[in-house]
Amino acid sequence: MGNSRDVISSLTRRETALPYQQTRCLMPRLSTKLLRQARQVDPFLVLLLRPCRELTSARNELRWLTEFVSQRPPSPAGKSKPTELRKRLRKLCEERGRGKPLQYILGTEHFGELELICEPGVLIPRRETAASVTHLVSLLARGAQTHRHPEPLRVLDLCTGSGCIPLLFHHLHRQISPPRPCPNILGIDISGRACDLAFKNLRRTHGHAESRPDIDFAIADVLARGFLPWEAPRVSDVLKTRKKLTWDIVIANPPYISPSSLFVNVERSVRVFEPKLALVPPMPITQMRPLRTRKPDPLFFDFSVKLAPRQRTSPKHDFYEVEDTFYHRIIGTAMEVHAAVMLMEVSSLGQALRVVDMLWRRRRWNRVEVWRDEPDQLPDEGEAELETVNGRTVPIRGRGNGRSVVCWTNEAGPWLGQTDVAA
Amino acid sequence: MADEYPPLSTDLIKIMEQRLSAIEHRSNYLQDLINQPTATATEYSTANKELRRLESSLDLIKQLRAKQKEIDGLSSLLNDCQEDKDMHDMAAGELMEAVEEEKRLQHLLLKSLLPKDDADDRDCILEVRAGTGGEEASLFAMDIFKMYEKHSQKKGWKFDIVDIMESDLKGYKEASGAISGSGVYGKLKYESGIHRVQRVPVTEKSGRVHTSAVSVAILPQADQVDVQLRNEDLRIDTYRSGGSGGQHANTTNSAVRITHIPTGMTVSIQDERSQHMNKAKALKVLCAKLYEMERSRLHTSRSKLRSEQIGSGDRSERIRTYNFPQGRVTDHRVGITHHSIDDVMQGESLDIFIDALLLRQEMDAIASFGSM
Ligand SMILES: C[S@@+](CC[C@H](N)C(=O)[O-])C[C@H]1O[C@@H](n2cnc3c(N)ncnc32)[C@H](O)[C@@H]1O
Repeated sequence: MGNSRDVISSLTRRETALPYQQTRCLMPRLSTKLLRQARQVDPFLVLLLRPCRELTSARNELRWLTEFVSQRPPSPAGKSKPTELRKRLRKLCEERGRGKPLQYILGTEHFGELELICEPGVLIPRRETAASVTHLVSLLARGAQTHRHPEPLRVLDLCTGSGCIPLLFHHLHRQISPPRPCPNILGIDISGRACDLAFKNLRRTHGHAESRPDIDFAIADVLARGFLPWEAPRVSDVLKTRKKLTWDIVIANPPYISPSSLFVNVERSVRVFEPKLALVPPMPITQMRPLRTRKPDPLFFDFSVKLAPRQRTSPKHDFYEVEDTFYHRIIGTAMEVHAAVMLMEVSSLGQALRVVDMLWRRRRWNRVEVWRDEPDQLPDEGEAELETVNGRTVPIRGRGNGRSVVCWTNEAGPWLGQTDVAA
Repeated sequence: MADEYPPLSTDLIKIMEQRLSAIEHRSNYLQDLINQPTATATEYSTANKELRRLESSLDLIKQLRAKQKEIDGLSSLLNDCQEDKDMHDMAAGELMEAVEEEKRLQHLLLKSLLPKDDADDRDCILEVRAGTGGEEASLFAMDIFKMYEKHSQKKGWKFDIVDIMESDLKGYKEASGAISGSGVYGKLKYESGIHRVQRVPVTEKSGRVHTSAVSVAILPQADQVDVQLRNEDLRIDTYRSGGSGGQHANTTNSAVRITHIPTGMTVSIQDERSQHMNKAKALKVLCAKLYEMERSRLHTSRSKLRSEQIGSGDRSERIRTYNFPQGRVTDHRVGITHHSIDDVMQGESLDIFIDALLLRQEMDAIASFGSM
C-alpha cells in the first residue's frame, strides 16, 4: 500500500513517451528556412506559424480564416473590397499569432458530429471529451441490442461548460437502433456565462426541431457545502427543487489541472486565453498556511476540500493531490443520486489511478475501468492494458494518455453490453 | 429525335441479328428444358437463372420483332393504296414512326448486348498527383484539378473537394475530390492516366519550354458494404499534440490517417476543421481504393478472356498532352487534337475527348462480340 505512490509516479513518467505521430513536441523550433518559405507563400502564414508550429497547420488555419472573413462582410451593404478583406484577415491573423484560440476567433468548434458555439470565458470543448462520450454511448448502443436500460435514461453532467457533453450524448443516443426514448439530461455549472452559452448551443443544435429535446442547464456549485450564504446553490438543492433526485448516469469533466502544472504542462494559449475557473480547482486555503500551525479555523477553513492534501495523517488518502478536489465531491454526488454509471475525465493515467482508488473505497462500483484518449482504438506498443492500484488490477482501454475513469454497478452492466457480472 | 438514333450500319445490324437469333434459340431451348418433367432440380435452377439473365434482352427482341412485323404490314399497305391519298399519308406517317421506333429498339438492344461495367452508374473519386517536373508539375496538377471541377459544374455534377496538399508555391502536390451525378464514373473513367504538359513554367526565367506530368486517377465510389470493410481492419491515427492532451492543450489540427491493415493502404485527410468529417472523407476514399483494387483483380483474371482495346487501364500510360505554346491538346489514344487549349482548361471541351473515347470503347466491344 505504501508504495502505491511510486507505482503512480512511474506511470506518469512512462505516459510522456509518445507512441505515434510525433510530428512535434510541445514547442519545436521554427527554422529560418521554414519562416522564409512561409513568407514566400503568404506573409500571414508567418504570423500563424507561431501558434501552429508547422506549415500544414498554418496553411489550413489561413484557409479557414480566409473563408471566415469572406463569408462575413462587416457591413450589411454586402461584399467588401479585397483590400478591406485583407485588412480584416490581417487583424485576425495577428490575434491568432498572439495565441488567441482559433475557436474563439471563428466562434465555433467541432465536437464529434456537432458544431458548437465558443465564447471567451467558457472552455473550448476538447476532442478527447468527445471521444469518451462517443465510446460510452456506443457501449449503450451495444447493450440496447439485448437489454433495456431505464427509459428515459437520466443523465446528469456536472461542470457542463458549453453544454457539449449533454448535446453530444443526446445526438448520439438518437442514432441508437432500435430507437429509444430520448434521454433526460441536466447540465450543471457554477458559471452563469457557461450556462448561457450552453442554452445558446442547445438552441443552435435543436432550434428547428419540432420537439425540443429533454435537456436543461442550471447553475450550481459542485463543491458547495451550503454553509455560506453567498455560495452558488448546492447541486443537491437544485435537484431537490426540480424534484429530480435520482439519475442513472453521472458524467463530469471537472477542472483537473494542478496550480503547479499550469505553468509546465499547459499550452500558453490555453493558459492565457481560457478561463482558469474551468481548468484549475480552487486551492484549499489550508494549503497556503504553514503546515504545523494548520488547524480548523472557522473563518478560513475552505469547505470545498474535504481532505488536506499531502497531510499524511490519514493513511486512507495518503496520495491524493489538490487537483483531485472535484472527484471526491462528484463521486459523492453520484452516490447521492443513486447513479449506476459514472464517466469522469482526468488529466493523466496517474490521476486516473488515484480516482480508481477513491472509487474502490466506496464499495458501490462493481466495475471500474480507465479509458485512454481514444478508447475505441487498440493500445500502442508499450501502453499497458492493466495497472495495479493497492494490489488490485484495473483494466486500461484504448490508446493515448489516460483520459477518463468509468465505473458502473452490476445493475448497469447489461446496459453497457457487459454480460459477465464482476465480483 | 432522328439525331438521337442514327441508323446502325448494315454490317452491325447483321452481326446483331445473329446474336439476337442465338439468344432466341438459347431461350427456346431453356424453356423446353424447364418444361421437361425429367429435368433435375439443379438443371432446372441453372436454366431458370440463365433465362432471367436473358429476360431484358428477350423482352426487347420481342418488341423489336413486333415492330418489324408492323413495318412489313405498313409497307405493303403503302404499296396497295397508292390511289387513296388519305390512306397513303396516314400509312406513310405511321411507317416513319415505326422505323424510328425500330431504330430505338436496335440501339437499346445493342447497349444491352455490350459488356457492362457495373460501376458506370456510380459516383467517383478524382485524384490528381503531381509527377515529374517539381513545382511546375504541382501548378499543372492544380490546373487539371480545377479543369475537372469546372467541367463538373458545367455538367451539373456535384464536386466536393476531399483534400488538397499544397506545394510550396500554392500549386497542388496532391488533390482529391468527390464527384457525384448520374453516370459520372462511366463518363470519366477514361481520364485515368498520365497527363503531360508542355509550357514555359512561371518559375522559369529563361523562357524555355518544360515538359512535366501529372497523374489522374478516377475511382468508382463505394461504401463499406461494397468492400466488406470491418472496423477491426482499420487503424485510425489522429494528430496528437504530444503533450498531456485534454484541458492542457488546444490543437486545431484535425488530421486523420486511416490504415487498412490487411492491405497496408493508407489515406490521410486534413482539410476540414472537424476531425469527424476528415475521418468520413478518408473512409470514402479508402473504400473507393479498395473497391478499385478488387475490380482490377477481377479484371485481370477476366481480361484473359476478353481483350480490352482502350488503354491498358494502366495508370502509368501517357494518355494526353497539353501543349500551351501551340495551343493544343492531343489525346494519344483516339488521336484527336483540339486546338483551343483554353476551352479545355475551362472544362468546356473535354467532351470532345470523352465522347470519342466512349464511342471507341463501344466500337471495340462490338467488334469483339462479332467474334464471340
Ligand atoms: C474543464 S471545464 C469542462 C466544460 C465542458 N464539460 C467540456 O467538457 O468542455 C470545467 C467546467 O466546470 C465549471 N466549474 C468550475 N468550478 C465549478 C464548481 N465548483 N461547480 C460547478 N462547476 C464548476 C467551469 O465553469 C467549467 O465550465
